Amino acid sequence: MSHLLQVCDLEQRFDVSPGFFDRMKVTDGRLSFKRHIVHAVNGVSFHIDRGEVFGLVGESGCGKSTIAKTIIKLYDPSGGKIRVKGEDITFYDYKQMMPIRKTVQVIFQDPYASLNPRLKVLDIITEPMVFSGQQITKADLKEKGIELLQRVGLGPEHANRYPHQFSGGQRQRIGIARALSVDPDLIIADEPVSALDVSIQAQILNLMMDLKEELGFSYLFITHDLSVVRHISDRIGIMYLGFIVETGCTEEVFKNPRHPYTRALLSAAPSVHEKLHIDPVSISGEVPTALELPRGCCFQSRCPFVFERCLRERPRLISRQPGRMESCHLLEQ
Amino acid sequence: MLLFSKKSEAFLESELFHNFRGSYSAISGAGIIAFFVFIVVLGPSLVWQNPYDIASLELLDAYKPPFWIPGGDVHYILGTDGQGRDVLASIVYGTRISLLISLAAMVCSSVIGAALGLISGYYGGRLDGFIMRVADVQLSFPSLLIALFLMSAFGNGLGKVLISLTCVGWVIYARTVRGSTLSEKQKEYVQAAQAAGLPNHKIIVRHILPNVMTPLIVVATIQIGTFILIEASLSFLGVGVPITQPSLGLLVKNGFDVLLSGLWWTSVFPGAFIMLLVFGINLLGDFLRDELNPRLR
Amino acid sequence: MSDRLLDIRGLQTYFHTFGGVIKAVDGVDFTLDHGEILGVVGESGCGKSVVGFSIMGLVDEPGRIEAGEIRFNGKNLARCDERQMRKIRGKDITMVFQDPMTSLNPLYTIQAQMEEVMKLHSDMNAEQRRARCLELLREVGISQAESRLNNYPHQFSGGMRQRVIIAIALASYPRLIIADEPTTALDVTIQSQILKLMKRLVKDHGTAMILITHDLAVVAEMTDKIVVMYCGRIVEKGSRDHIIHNCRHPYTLGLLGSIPRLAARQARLTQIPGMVPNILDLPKGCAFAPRCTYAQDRCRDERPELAKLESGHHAACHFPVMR
Repeated sequence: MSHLLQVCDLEQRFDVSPGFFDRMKVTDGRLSFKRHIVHAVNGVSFHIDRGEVFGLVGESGCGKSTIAKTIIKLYDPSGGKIRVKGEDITFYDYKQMMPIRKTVQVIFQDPYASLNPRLKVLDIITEPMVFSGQQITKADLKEKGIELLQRVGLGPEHANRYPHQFSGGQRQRIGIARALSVDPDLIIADEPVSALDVSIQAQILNLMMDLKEELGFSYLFITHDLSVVRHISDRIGIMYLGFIVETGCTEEVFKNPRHPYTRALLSAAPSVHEKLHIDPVSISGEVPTALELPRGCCFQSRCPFVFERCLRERPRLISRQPGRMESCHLLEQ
Repeated sequence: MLLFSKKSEAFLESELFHNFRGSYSAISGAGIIAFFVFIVVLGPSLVWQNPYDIASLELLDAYKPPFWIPGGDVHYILGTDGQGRDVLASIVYGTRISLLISLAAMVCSSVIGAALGLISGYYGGRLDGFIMRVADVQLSFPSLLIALFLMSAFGNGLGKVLISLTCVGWVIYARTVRGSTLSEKQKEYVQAAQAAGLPNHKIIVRHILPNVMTPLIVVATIQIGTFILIEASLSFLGVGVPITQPSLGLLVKNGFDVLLSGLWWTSVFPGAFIMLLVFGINLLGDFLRDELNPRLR
Repeated sequence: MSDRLLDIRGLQTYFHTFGGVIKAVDGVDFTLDHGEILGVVGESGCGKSVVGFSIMGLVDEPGRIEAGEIRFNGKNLARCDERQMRKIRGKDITMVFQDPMTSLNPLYTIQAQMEEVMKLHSDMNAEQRRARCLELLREVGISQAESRLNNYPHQFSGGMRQRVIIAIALASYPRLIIADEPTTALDVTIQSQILKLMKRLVKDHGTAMILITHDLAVVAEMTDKIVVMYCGRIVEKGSRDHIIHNCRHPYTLGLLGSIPRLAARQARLTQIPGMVPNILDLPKGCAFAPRCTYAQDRCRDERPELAKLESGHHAACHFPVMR
């Protein structure tokens, strides 16, 4: 039984080299023209099964949004494989991707930029249906559109309005309706509640969970907010500098984080309610640049437990207990 | 009908109209333009003489001064030129030509320029680089010079002037639209459209184009004025419109030879009208540019 | 009370726009003592940033302070003219803004920007200023301070820039720092560092701080007192413990319930139904009544005033929640 989504050793690199003359560099008396490559995603592997919520967590620049865009082929991957329901879509072109776009849909972060300001709400919601290659009449489109609006808590009177007439939370509902329009099996939610106020965030999170229960699809939930990911996901993956450093069942990882970065992240998270009962780990410094990846472990510059092996050898993501994986040399003792 | 009045009602209550009402320069600009539109549409029927109908000309009435100067005739309010053509009538017909060419040139260059700008901005890469380099090279020459060069190669003619103006004018549209396209492309609704499976050309037309129209409108408005001036200059230099269809610029040229002999009205009045028209367009264009500024979004 | 650092009474800041009058701050009272950290919390549009700008006198047209007093060290800032405010800004009251990427001028070195404040408000000579700059950079935890003085903002990361901004805010030994969402644009781990730094500095120097944010978790960790705002009004204020553990206003309760727990997973989050009303068309009576599960007729007719529940704890509610 194949996974709904399987990502194997996914890599994504962006060439951001400036012009010819800007690249010119003289080192030790020799002229070189170095290319500037951003290593956004470096060998990421995970899978998502039917009906589950997989949370991808990390701070800014860790590559989580890039993964989302690569999975739906907004970019072509630089390496690795992507499988949807067992089908290898890594090198699919536009035409081949059309049926896949019915299976995988996206909800975006910014409610103010994710809806075309010049289109009516009904047109926005039904657009994926129109371009999914299936033949639907205009009347059917309208009917389905209104049904979707009601499903996300809006009304039929909203169908002919424009996005600027709605609040942030309502716009996000419209975005959700759009993603639902083709009955997908997997919805990739890229920071869907980060731009919303706390009280609206709760409404949208509840809505997303209710819809999932009702319609039975899966989420790839990308966020930097630890309390949100704790609430909504069944399993999580923690990312740093384009690498996955730890994965496992959410409960387990939060109760007993094993990678130093995960522990630092959980220690740093401010909390209104009770704090987590874990050994606090505090880190200093900043995330290093993705232009020049360090030779060994990606976390070496900030890890309080770094030792000699970490500087030479990149740790691999290994499963030491069933259902959990970490990439850290420290855990091999 | 109901929908139309609803939209116009909404417009009349909008902030744009409110600011328009409060801005003297905008109202003046709009007034001037309205006046010229009036001339263009109704002018020929109000002016008793068609200056290009040889039969209606009286050579004996040549070089009559404007009516308030001794020697003038109330029938020829602004005087006549060397062939007995009433200056006011010539201006009315000339304005039609000037505006016709400028509007046509604006439409052509905006269509071509916007298309190039959209393609350039959306696809990027070498194509973008090429188009922008061509634009840069062209911008390093004064537009009048380029138009002059083209017209001297083409020869006189209304259509040829149109082509020259289009060749000169596309650049600013391309650059403006390219800038807006680059910024809209980053927005998530474009990614959403890509994720929904829209092909690129549909994304450009359906999603990006409507959202880059606003700066386009502002540029187009001001460009009409620029085209009027370029066309007038070309005609003045003799490489613009043919003599059979004189624009305001050609009228200025025709009177120029006798200007220093004291027969000023044949040149000065058409020149003044050119100035007034461009001034009105610039006033309105300035107002639009300030109002449609993205800060309002 | 003459030893209060800041005493705000009845502050009203309105914006007169084409669409109507926006009552961004509509009757706000609170006090602040020396060395205290006050959190002003609320969702977007509640007016919390406008409170900060009003204190600084930085409210631009079409907004202005309509009424109220802002007593700072005995002087009423609401009545001060621009010249008087300029003496206070940057010296006695300083501000830290949200976006570290744009708060520093990209064309000037860090040293130049730090010294600018010192030149304005003190008469130190060049050597003294440089020494103070180095001292400040070290205090905010920037290593290799000497070499970094001549760097430009683009050579610093977001977290480092925010540290520089905090250093600038501390340069003139201010009595009060107003921090408007200082860590919202930063990552969690950096946020934690910056918050710890701010708390330590504020306590060391005896400076008071007003921390404006939408993030309840941040105020829970940082503040001594909290003020909760909704639609331009204060709905509840009290000590940190009062608000976090014993809140009485339904909005505060709903807000706290909306936040997912870090330590345990819940089935469903408490959600506040509906949306924030249009600021141009606020309901008669309590602004929160349309969304309040406990609302009764009196709430819809009569606007509640801030009433004392216990010492140091006030709520603007006709029927505060029983706990």
